[in-house]
Amino acid sequence: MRDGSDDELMRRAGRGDNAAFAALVARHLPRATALATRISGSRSDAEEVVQEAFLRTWMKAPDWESQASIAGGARFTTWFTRVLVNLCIDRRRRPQPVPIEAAADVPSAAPGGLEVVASNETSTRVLAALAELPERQRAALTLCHWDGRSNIEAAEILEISVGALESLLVRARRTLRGALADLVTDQASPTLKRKLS
Amino acid sequence: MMSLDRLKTLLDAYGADPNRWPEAERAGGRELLAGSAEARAYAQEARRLDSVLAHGALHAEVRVDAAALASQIARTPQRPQPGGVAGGRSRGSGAGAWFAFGWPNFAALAAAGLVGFLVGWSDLGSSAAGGRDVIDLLAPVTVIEEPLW
Repeated sequence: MRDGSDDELMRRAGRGDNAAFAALVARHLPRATALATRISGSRSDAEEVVQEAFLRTWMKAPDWESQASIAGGARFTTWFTRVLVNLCIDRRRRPQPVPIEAAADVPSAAPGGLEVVASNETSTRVLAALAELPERQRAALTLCHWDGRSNIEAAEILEISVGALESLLVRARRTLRGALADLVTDQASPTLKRKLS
Repeated sequence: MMSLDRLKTLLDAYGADPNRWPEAERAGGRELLAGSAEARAYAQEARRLDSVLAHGALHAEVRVDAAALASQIARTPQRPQPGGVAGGRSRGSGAGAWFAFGWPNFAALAAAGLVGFLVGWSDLGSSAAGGRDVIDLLAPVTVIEEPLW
């Protein structure tokens, strides 16, 4: 039962239609998991955040129709992604308590606490550099570069202007260019590399 | 014609692939790239960073079963349950609201009447100490009433 737009499924879920809600979850779970994993930097955190986002979706469903019309028909994916991104950011900002006696034994994951599996050394470097970015910059870059959102949609999700979004993206890419300078230089053509050296 | 500064901002923000740029600016950006060697040099720089960032592609494994997750969440009530303290009742309209509002009145009146009968019948009101006992007896009725009023 995967028919129907997101808005239609939300309306039906709001009337207690469990099958409609299940279809909504099945449709958005993979992309939500990928997005949350990249922004949170942790697969386990991402799973918890995604579950919380879907719980909020279920609770929101009864009011979806009236509030969507008031908001000018905001698309479900924009609203849902906003919830997801905000939950990721809140979770990363929250201090993670570590018992004193256990602190020395905490196994080190990849740099920046990244637990996701990287395919090679370059991948590890890129993901670690991404994890070190400030939350808003990482969210903006993730939405536009890897999640394929338009600048307008990403700005709506982050509740900022398009100009502010571009500012976040510029700062994020400049930071990454600095952190990954050796890898970026390796991408240069042999002719250019000779000129640079 | 797009300015070189604007193209640099696009390259810095979105990378070298015009498909990632704002739709309204793609044509102007491509035109500038075609006619400016300086613009192409900036684009080449942005392309190198894009190539490195491509290694950051994730294949996030979905370990959560969608149907089980939906089923678990759907067991959570979307609205406060009727019959709870807050209840789903709207006060002041309908028969349900009337009964909800009215029954405690009758209970209170009946309780007060019963206490009054007992006071008069047993002569508890002849001493000050007895008066306090009556107040103590009545007090719980009042406390029970307050939240319902």
